[in-house]
Amino acid sequence: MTLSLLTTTAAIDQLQRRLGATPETPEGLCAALRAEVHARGHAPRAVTLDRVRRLLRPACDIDEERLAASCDALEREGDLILAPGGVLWATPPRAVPLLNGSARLFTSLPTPALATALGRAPVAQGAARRVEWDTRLEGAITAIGGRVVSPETWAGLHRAPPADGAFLSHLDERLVWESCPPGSLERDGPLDWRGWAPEGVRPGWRRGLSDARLWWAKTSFGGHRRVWTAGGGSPATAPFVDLSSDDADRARFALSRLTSATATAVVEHVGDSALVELPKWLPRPEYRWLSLQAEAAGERAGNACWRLPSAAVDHVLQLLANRLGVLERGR
Amino acid sequence: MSGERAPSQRVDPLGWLRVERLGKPLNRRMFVARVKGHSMDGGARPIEDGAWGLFEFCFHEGLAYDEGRDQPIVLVRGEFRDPETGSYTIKRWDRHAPEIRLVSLNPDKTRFPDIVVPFEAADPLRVVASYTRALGPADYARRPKPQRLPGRRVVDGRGGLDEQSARLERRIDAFFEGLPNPDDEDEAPSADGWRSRLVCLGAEAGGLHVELGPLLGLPPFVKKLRVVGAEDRDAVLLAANARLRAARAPMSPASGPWRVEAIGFEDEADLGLDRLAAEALPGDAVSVFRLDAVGDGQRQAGRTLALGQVYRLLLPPGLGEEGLGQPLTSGWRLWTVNLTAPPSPLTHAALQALGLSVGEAWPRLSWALTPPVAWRTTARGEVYPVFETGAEVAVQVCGLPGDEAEPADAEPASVFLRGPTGVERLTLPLGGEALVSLGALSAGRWACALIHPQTAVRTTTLVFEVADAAVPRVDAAWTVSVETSPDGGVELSTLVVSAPPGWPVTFSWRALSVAPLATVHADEDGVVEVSKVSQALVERARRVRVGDVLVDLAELGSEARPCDRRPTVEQVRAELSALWNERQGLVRARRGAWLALIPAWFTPVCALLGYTLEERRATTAHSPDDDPNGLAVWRLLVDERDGAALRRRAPRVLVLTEDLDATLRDRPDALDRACTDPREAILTDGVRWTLFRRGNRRRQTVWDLGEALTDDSFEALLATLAEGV
Repeated sequence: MTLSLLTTTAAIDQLQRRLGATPETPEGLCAALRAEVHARGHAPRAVTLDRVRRLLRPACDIDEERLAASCDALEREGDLILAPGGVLWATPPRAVPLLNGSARLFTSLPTPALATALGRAPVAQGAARRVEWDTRLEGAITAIGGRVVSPETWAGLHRAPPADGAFLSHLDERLVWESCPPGSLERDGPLDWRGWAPEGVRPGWRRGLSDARLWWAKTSFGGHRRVWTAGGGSPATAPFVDLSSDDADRARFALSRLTSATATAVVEHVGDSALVELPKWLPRPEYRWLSLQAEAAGERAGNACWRLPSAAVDHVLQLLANRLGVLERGR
Repeated sequence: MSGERAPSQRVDPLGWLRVERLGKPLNRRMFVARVKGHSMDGGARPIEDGAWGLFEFCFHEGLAYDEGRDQPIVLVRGEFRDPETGSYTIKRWDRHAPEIRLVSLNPDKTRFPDIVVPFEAADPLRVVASYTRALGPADYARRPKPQRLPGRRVVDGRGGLDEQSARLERRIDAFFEGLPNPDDEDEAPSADGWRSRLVCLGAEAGGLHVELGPLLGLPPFVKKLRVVGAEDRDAVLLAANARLRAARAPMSPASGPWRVEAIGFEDEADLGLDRLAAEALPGDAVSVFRLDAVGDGQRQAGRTLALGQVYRLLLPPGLGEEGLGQPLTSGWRLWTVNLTAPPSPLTHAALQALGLSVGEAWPRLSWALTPPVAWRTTARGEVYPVFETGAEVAVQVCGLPGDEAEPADAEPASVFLRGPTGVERLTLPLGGEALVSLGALSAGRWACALIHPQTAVRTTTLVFEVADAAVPRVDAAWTVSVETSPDGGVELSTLVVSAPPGWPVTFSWRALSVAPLATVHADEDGVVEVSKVSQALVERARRVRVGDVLVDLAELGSEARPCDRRPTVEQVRAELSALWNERQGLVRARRGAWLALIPAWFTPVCALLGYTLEERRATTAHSPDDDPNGLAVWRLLVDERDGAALRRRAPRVLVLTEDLDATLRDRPDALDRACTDPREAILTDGVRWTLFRRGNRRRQTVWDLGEALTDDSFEALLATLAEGV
């Protein structure tokens, strides 16, 4: 042991060695978040963000929004689970081998520990991690409690219904079987409910809608509630069923599909690749499937952008059209 | 130094030493000093270099000091130059005219000569103290303790290092053994460690929480605990969690006082849960929570906030300026006050208005840069971090006093690190913040403390562990188990599911289509709470004869359990009898009013016979408009298992008629047309029932339902008309 004072430069170097990335980058932030959640097993999201910020503060000032966005990215990737109540949970290792000889890795296990277990270092890009794959790694994944799953199993499209009228009928059926009383979410005070308006200039959450079926509110502790009603009022005045975020996202597409304002994709071809702009709220199975076909390429005008080979665009759009009713703008 | 007067020398005491088995009374003139030098290492009772010797101050002028034939060993100061110790020396005093000889006991007179002082040069000689004897290890209780001055800690020099090392060693032992900190006077633990306390997290994390546990010794039959507040506000905790570690339940600040009860054993007074009751927060004063090293707010009783710390203040409605803090529920607010830098005048005034003062300095020590690989819990429920062996651990220090006032009195604080390899100290710069690397540490238990020389500045200690292979493992394993019921189906009330902690498990009912019912997340022990889902599943299973319970863990896999239900003859008889008794009057009175009787009578009767009545009324194959004399037809549907899949078929139709005998006698062709596909029809007027097969003109058995329910013909009725009984 040698006690010593650290300069900011030395602190950044130390952090970089530990995280495997510059702290302020998405890769660095994701590494810090994974380490924090995996060490604790589970912790409230808000507390986790605060702790990571304080941990990194001596080296650099972390933008709160960027840290929160990295946390959202990890949850969307599947490295972390966000459970009701706003609690983040650590996840076991899942490896998804791809046809190109690499495998995507999904787990809260920090990259250094993953590298030790696999005997090779994963490469990080944003929240995504991949590693060169061969079948010998299957045993390594299993040895650390993980599973190797196929891309189809990982995406889980077969487990999720398309976003259409039948899906909405199931939600109505749940209203019959297991609805919650009006106002039962507002014991601690009224919630600011917004209904999903699929039509208009831009689909979105609006206040003051009396005929909406899908509703969202932020709770007083920063969590989110998404519910389905039979129409005729918000959950404050009408019976409702709780929805997962995934079901709520699927309901958004289903509602848009039933109206003239279907969700759209914008495609821009650049050489051999294409940039596809899609709504950010893809349900988890479709998001996972797409993330195996394409690379996340930032955002544009509030939509998520994906880069993929031009030859794959039709296949991707076909699937999204079938499952979510997404149509290419201009077609 | 000949001719010069021996310089005086200030002697600072090192501290106090407890001396035992002295053999003579102690007095104030006695002192213990460590002997340096080898000149007295000889004779019958040598005084070795480094020995602790007991002396007694006497202060005699040399010439006047005459002990006669005795030759005491004395501590002498003079103008001589002892080769080992300068102008002070310990020697045997031999005064014998015309000289005073200071005699070395070491026989090597070449290296350790006697010091001879003629009488005429003896004026400067002073006998400072007489030597009593050397002290062996059995003669003193412990090593010399540094002298303690009021308002000060011993942090400097070897004494400081030793003292802080011993303190940190005690802290480490107490912490990991689950014992009270022997150096901390603030704690008052209960006899068996059961405790509850109020903890304040950030507003987005739920604010106020009641924290229980670990509740070691909580009986195993207690499965769930309920934290109950005012106005029926409550929260449920799993007892399994609270037994082993602290468990928290978010509560509204307005909902106190709180009590804890065991669900199902609310009247059991001997569980001791009454000790966990927590008082309500005051409604007319601010409640203060100080953030600990991991950012959780620990409640503080005092009204003085410490510079260097961060606080969460819970303000009841009406207290403090409007707009102060973040709103919580019921008018309460949460105000976070960061005192790692001196507060602004506005903040200071706001705190004073709340009855709070900013007082003592309490620099903050928190983890920085390197995240722990794991967090573990002691038997007392205290959480501590674990770092990997060789990891570069760092801490951040904030709120160091020193720069802001009276720089002349400013003293630096020090960071002490104690672990398996020893103790180390680093003096920090004055004021502000500092980032300290603890280095790459070896495996073991460690403590890091921020200590200021002045007791007015509080000490902060972090205890942690360094270990190999400490990264927690999250396993992807999961299980589903359910018991089989006597009729071959499943007892849904016995459904037990385990999954990775926090993993979402989706429960669905699958008949002809899949209807997701709920997604439940496993708890931290991997248990999935299925009680609410079980009720929904039981209800679904009750209404249909065939279906599957789907337990889906996404990419980890899924499992389907068939829930086929085959009621017995007795069960059908009992339910049909109840229905008949309730509605036979309606059936008889409204004969022919099929649209009214379909939901009230025919649908439930057909369900008991194993059919689902198709909602849409069927038409005959040859003539869609051929429906004279009230002959109405509906398809009867049956869901059945075909291997792993479920399929629906329509084996019969239901034909309703007001005059069953006349229809059988006079309209068999119309009945044939109704039975094109399927080829059988259940013909009924509501009270009387029979089976018609296409093309069959033979006399069929006609049952009066009311009579059949009470006699032996009911089984034959079911055998002919029912499916799946």
